[in-house]
Amino acid sequence: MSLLEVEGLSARHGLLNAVREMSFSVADQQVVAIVGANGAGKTTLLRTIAGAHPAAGGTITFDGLDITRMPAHRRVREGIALVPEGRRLFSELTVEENLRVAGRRARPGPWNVGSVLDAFPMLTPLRDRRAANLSGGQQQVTAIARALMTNPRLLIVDEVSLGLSPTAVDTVYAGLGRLRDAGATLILVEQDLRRALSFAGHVLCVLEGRVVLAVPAGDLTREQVTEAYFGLQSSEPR
Amino acid sequence: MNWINAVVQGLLLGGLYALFACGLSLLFGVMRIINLAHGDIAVLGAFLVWSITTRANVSPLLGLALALPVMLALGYALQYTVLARSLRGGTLTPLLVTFGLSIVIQNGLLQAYSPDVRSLGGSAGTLSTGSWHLTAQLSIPYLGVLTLATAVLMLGGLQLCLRHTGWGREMRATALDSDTAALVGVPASAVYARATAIAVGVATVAGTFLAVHSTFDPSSGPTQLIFAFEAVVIGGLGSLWGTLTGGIVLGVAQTIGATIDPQYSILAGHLDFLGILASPRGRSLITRSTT
Repeated sequence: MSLLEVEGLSARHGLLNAVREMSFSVADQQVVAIVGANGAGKTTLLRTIAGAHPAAGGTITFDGLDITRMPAHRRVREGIALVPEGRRLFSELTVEENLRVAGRRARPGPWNVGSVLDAFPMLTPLRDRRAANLSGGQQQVTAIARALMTNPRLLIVDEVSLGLSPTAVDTVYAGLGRLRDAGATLILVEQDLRRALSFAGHVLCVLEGRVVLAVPAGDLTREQVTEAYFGLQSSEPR
Repeated sequence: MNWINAVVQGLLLGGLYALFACGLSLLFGVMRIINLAHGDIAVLGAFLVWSITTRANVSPLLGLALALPVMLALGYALQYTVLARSLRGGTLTPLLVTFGLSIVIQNGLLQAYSPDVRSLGGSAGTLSTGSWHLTAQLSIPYLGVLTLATAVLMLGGLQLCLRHTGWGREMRATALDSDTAALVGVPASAVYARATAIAVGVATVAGTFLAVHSTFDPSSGPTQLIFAFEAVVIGGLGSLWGTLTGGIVLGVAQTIGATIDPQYSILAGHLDFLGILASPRGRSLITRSTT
């Protein structure tokens, strides 16, 4: 059975239909990369799944439970964690305080400040540093670590590598790779197609608020993605 | 010696202003609400303490201890019934709502208690009248010391809790970014309710000290709100230690003004506040809040 089931989901920004009747599912331990041009509705989709944006229609089912109208903080209790675009750390709090805020009402599970710092050793020397004083890569790792503190069953990372240096991207993916190999369920938004195709098991291509392609990453050529990405194939069923 | 006396009395008076300012500062820091009913809530608390004290014939401090749970519950209810809804209406709505609440409380108190001026000073015994006589011209009142000590304990304790406890971290995180706090499992409304309860509770303590220190009636709230607001701005928005300093600066300015001429007492406090607003720090405060 799939862990996350999205059916006919719509979400709006005012009059703009950012997400239009999207349907897809994510199985347990699956790693899904969502690709698509800017403005395709990826971030809105993820925020709607996490409860930070209201759904205008359709349903979101998580582990058999309809969570479409559930407030964000209760979805965290159910096991959904979103690393938002732009990291959104609590800037005046230290790294450790950022982690502890997320851990306070966490589900029971393997992640705590100790195990998170073991998984991301680069954070240990930074734990008393204010989040505002971190580099972009350090912030992204802290944001992922903060999301892990809630012991998620589904970790969603928006714009994994946006604004990061190539070395920082490697560091972040090394951390995500360890999570993937440990059997985590992940949804990533990634602008870098090569990264997305090599890291994820499944790829979801989004164009103008609709899913235009959903296939295992192995079966996919760059050309197919590019076509779906820019909507060159007008005959593609939508 | 006159001047030393003025500064000492000002310090002690500043404790009272800091107590009034504490709740205002907390609500502004956590929820970005300027609670215009803050002074009236303090006066409401003072009336409740007055009722308990006169009915049960106990000391005002015991009356305060009995009134506090009621007022804390009222704070919770205030957030869930009124403030939470008004926050959804944008930044201006809470201002209008608390202004309305201020009028409702004042008129409710007028209806229930009549416009008579009251004081808890009589039932407090030596606490309100006694003092340590250091020299012929310098005496330190018990009540002033107790007020200042309470202010230091409450503001300092609150600041330490915000820094070092789990719920304090949640409160700071929610203050910085309530949407992201929800994404890590922190419900903003529960954090706001806790902040409102604390603010109403500390306001009740402040109202009680005012009632023992001098007199109060149903329309005393707005004056206290102005002093509290000035203390918050002088001390810098969003810092509780700053609020304590602000209250003390305001108190000292008033007593020094009164030493020059009794009619300058309140005016000196206002001038001090305006001076801070006109200073570079005050200007940075204004530009920061508009960007």
